[in-house]
Amino acid sequence: MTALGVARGKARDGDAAQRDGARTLVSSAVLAAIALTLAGVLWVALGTMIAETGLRINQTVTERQTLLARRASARLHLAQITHPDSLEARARAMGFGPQLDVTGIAIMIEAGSVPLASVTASERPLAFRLSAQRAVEAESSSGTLLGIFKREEPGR
Amino acid sequence: MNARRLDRLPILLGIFVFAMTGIAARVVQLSSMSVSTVAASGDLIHPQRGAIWDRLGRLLATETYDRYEIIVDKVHVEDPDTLAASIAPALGELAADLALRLANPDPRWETLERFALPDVAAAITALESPALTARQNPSRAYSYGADMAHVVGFVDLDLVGHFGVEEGHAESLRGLEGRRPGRFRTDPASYIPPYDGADVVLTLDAELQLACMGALERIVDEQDATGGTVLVLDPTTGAILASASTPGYDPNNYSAYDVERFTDPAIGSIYPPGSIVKPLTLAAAFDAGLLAPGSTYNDEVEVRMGGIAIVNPDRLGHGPTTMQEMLTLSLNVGASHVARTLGADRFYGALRAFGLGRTTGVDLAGEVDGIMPVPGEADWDEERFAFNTFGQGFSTTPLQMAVAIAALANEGRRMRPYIVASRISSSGEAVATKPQLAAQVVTPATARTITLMLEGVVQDRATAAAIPGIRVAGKTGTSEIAGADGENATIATFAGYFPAEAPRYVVLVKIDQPDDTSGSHVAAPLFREVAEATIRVLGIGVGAAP
Repeated sequence: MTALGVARGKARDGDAAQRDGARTLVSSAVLAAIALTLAGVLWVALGTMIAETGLRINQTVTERQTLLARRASARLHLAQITHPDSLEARARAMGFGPQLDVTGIAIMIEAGSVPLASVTASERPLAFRLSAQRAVEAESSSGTLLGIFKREEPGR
Repeated sequence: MNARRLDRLPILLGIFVFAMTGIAARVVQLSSMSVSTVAASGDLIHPQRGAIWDRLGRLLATETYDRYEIIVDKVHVEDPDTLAASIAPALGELAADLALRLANPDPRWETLERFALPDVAAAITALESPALTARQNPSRAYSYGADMAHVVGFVDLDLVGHFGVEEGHAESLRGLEGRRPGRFRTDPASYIPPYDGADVVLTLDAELQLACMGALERIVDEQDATGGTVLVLDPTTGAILASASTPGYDPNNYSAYDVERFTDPAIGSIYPPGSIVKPLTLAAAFDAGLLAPGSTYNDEVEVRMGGIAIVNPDRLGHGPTTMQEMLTLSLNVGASHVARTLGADRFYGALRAFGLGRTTGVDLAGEVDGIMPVPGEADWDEERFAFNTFGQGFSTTPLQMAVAIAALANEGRRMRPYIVASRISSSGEAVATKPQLAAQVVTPATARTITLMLEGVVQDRATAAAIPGIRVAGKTGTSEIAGADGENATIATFAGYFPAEAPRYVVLVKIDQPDDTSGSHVAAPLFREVAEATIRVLGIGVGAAP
């Protein structure tokens, strides 16, 4: 091998070394960029997750407020329709109420069929006009409610 | 190999640019989402104030959200005049005035209306202005209005409780504020959840309360009285089952009333109890062994004590008189005999033991002591002692008197009265109030003896208080006070309990300055009406009361 050949060989080796060095540099830069990007992505992703969590909490707080408002509205509506005055008004509108002209209540007691109220010819049984609550009381305390007696109105 | 790597470089760069673009877009999106919510409301999360329920779960008070706070963020106000012109009609303000406020950059956020109606809020929201926000603002609603006002109390615009349960149990009801996540609502680390206030369940029965209030208002109206009070207690526990007083106020519109109306007369107004103290001092004399039911004294037309002449209500002397007759006829001469027999120290000791002249410790705000000077104090003298023997010259609250009478009904045991049966935390944990014995005032035997004597009072004298089929023990009281015009006026009272063989309910009624000055004519019929309502609503059997 001539000296020229040796020199050319060395030059080629030098170029190759330079190219290898450049390639290594580029590869390292790419890897660094990728790593940096990944780190950035991770960082932003974490931040995003945290931010999303915060926003979800915020939305939940707002939703909670909406639900509280609905519950309060429902509670108030329920309170209005179950107010004793409201119940009484509706019960009266349905025909329930004290029968002021009732003269007696006939109840079957267990010892025998003895009506507790005396019935005269001018009176007739008008069963089931008593309020439901009173009927239940009468039935549970004394036996079977037979009927309620109401005085005949004049002319009937 | 290396060549292939170099070939991939543009691809990698593309991915890099794409990723960065995506990240940038996400950051911009998050920023815009955050900013849009910044001005929506303050950072604090309002805790829901606890609701108030009656013993059967009827709602008495709750927080509502049907009012809105209108807030402006002036950074986003581009043209104050135009914005003012568009919202001034809805807010009921002059556009020119509003424009001046909007043009002033300080403060940045300003509340334009604190309790706007829903239609105003809807009109503001419809403008879709980034400068304006309509935020629900909590307020309080009272479903039983004036019928429960004195017991429940009210909250002001800042949701601070005043009077009654609202103030007395403010700590439980209020809750703790929370905090939204950070300035831009994106930092969960700074999020503090709110802790809602506890619900409170009262011992009071709403249906009975309405019945008491209706009966009381009718009597007050018929008698042209200035007011009145009805109390229903469970003597075995001290639970308050009804507490009705008039005149009252509507807590939904409290600002329309004078502040005097807010005081609950049952615990915050004092009056001379009159003859209702006679069974108390008699019980003390029996307990001390100084007198017995069969003891007699000579009832004269007049006795002098502390420089004053004590006479009976009928102005007569009844000669040799038993303690039962003294109590039935409510003889002042006999009451002074009992007091003298006891002596001043024992007399006042007994009244104190029954709880008179001192707060009862009830869990309601606004309770007062009463006025009862005792020997050794500057305001006390023999003349005052003479008046005190028949219930004049000192003052108690109606609740103090009801608790004292309840001690007789409860075999001599005075219970601390209470109105909150339980508290239920926002997590559902319930804490029930335990009845507390305040004092064993007299022996059970003495209490039963007095009960029998009070039954005799109802049977022989205060017959208007009697209930067919039910044994009732009770006592009338008529006390004299100075009326508004400076002339003498009276307060008619009746306190009693039933069924006398095993008392479940104590009822005290008090009518202020009625036309008819007799306690037995005015208060006894009201007592009967309230007692019958109590039996109808709560029953008379075991377990009827909470």
